Amino acid sequence: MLRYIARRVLMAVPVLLGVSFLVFAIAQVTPGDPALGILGSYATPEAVAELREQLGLNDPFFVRYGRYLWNALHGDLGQSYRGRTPVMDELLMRFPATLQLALAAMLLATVLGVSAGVIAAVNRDTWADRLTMVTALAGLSIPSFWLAIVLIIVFGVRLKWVSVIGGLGLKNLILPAFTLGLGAAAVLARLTRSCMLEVLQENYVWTARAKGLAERVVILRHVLRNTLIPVVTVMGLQFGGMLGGAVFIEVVFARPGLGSFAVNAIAARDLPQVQGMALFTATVFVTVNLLVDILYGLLNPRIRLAE
Amino acid sequence: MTLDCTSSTPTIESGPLAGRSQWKMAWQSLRKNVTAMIGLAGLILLVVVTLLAPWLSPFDPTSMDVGHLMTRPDQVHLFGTDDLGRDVLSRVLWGGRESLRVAILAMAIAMSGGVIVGLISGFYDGLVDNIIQRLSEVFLAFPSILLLLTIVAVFGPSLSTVLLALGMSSIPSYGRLVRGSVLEAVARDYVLAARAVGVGNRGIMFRHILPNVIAPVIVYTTVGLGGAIMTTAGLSYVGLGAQPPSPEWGAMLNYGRGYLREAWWMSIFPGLAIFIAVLSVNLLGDGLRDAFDPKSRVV
Repeated sequence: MLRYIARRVLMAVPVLLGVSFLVFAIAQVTPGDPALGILGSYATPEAVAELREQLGLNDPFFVRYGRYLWNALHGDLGQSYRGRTPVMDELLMRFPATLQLALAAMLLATVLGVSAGVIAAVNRDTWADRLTMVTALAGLSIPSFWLAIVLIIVFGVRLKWVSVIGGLGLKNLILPAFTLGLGAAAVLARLTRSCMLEVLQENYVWTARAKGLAERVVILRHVLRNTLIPVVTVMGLQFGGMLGGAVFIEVVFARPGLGSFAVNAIAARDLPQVQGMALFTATVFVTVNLLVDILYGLLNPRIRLAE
Repeated sequence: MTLDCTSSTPTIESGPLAGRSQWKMAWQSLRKNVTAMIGLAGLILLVVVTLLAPWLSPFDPTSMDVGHLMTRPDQVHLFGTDDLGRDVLSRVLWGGRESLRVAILAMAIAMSGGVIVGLISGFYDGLVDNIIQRLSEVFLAFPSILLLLTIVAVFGPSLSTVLLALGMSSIPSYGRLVRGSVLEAVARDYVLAARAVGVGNRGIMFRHILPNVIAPVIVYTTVGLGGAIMTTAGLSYVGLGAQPPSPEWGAMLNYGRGYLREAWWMSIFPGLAIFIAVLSVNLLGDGLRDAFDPKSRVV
């Protein structure tokens, strides 16, 4: 098992290096002079030239990349153009809001999705199955940001049940978590159902039934455990995606997370912020996937023994 | 991504029997699938209606009518009017042209790029394959929305940037999918046979392997189209895609955001259009997957 984990960790290193290179290269193809970006368009050519020298912008490409990488490894992602504050601090300030939202959404998605999938599979081809699957398809097709708007109109504007915009309290988490989690719940429900149907055909399930185990035990101990293997992988992908991709929902609900940070950074063309955001989120994403891979190996001896 | 539950291979198979008979079989099975046909009908209807927008829409999508500001939906303005007195129904019809065009073209870029990359990567194993795969890994290390945002950041917010970004950022995953099928196909006898009679590499790749590996790509593209429609609208919604006064669906939602209290219809109808479009595509995609993958039907 240790060898399996070590292998996975080592495989992530070149990927992260590639990511950092790509993120750094973005700055090179983006039109505009970073020094001008900091000083504003009224700066004198002398001031720009001086700042360029100061920032080391005249050094060769790979020297600059090396310096960027070295700084990034030490938690320094540069300073933003706008606030002149360290990008890392800005990201760390925003991260908890996104993490909170993603965790809540994922919890909701897992509970809703997996149980819906199990109910559908166990009651295959009945009305319960069909209703669940139609709901899942609708959940998959509904744009989360639009659902959010509809819910705001209904619960916020009409019924005035919840204060919907801003704030990080639990009360302000319900609608964003629901709208963000619904799509993932739908994906998990469909996957759980189809995997469970497949597992139900396996010989060991027949064996378990043949030896007289109660159906409950067969489902919970034999079927569900094997069903969850691919489900966990997809959960990891979904969760990683939420950490970097709660963009639309954060904007709708005006949550101060990474997603809304990214949108503002792009609109303001604040390059260090965009780069920092990309590198930070990709690193989190790769780490989450790594953890999922390891968890997958723990859950499924077939994978780890095959290597 | 499709995951198989008992092994780790994708569920969509492209065997040596793939060919014309497979297409016929798939179509026959698709035709019997009621929900898939509803999806296909919905999609065709949407495309036709938006293409005919210049003739169908009751009003000009940009002309303002100060006498009818934010009127509720009634017989004259079926979907109501916005704060400038523009007819929401006309704007939804015209906006569909933008939304659907961007999504379809983006998927076309993703599909053709992915097919070329995947064919090359799967066919020329060794160094070329290795380089392409390592590169893909780097791109796939970004959550897809983040990769999109990054590309938008480089080229600046606009609908054409979104189109390009959506297409380009999807190429690696298409490449992966195609490569997997190509690796399987290369080992088949028909490739050996083609080589034996002197067909060149390019001929083998495009005339012999491609037709046999394209089925899962088509399924994947159809499913991806729904996501593309949604992402296009989403990016416009947060202000990084289509810019006002464009009636693109997401841009309309963005515009209506300021009037949730006074004029819900400005936000409800464009969103409903996105929902119907994505739902149609997903219904069709599900049907296509079942049609091309007999295994999933047995289960």
